[in-house]
Amino acid sequence: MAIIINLDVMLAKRKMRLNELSEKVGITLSNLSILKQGKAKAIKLSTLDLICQALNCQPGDILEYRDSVYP
Amino acid sequence: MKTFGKKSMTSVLKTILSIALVLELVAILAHVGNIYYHCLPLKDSMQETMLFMYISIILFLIIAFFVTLQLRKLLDRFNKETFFEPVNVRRIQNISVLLFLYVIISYLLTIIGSVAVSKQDIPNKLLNAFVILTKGLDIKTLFLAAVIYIISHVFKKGCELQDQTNLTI
Repeated sequence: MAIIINLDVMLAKRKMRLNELSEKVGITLSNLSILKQGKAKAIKLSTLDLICQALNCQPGDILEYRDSVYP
Repeated sequence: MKTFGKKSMTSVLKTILSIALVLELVAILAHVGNIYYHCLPLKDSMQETMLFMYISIILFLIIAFFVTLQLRKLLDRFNKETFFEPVNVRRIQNISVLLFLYVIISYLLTIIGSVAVSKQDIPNKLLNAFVILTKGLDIKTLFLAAVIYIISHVFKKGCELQDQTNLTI
């Protein structure tokens, strides 16, 4: 998929750990891990809202489109 | 009565299928014993016909055994409330294939049997038993097998949807 999830980059910028984010947004660590690894097939707008709120960022900071990436 | 879980309809069915499995196994062994006791060594045409009948019954019982086994395993998964999984799809497909196999074998046995019976002078009682055993092309089972095959594909779609749901964060 050409959509890249830059969750790890944002986490590093905010100096936050994944389990900390998990506690803040109320999403299980395993689900966040799936998201971080780019294995997720879809992301709910409510989840994106919670993550953006927790990381104080825009959706564009987390999601990126790269044309050269193939499955 | 609950559908899934402990003391549910599924668990009752599972128990019935377990008993059926044991009975089928016993029946297979009993018919193998019958072959040794009644048919071997082959002396006349009646014994040949009986051998043919016993082998037919054993074949049907073997198919029934595997269908029951697959069904039992499927119900076991359903009882644990795991429905849309590739393993379940495979099991439903197996049941459908086994039913198709039953229809084909039954039809072949009818043809072979009819030819063999027409050439031999055998008692009417045995002939009647043979007619009951092999019913020609079993349309009902063929239809059932086709429907089960379609259901397996419905489950396949269900698996894809389940996968998507699981990977939606």
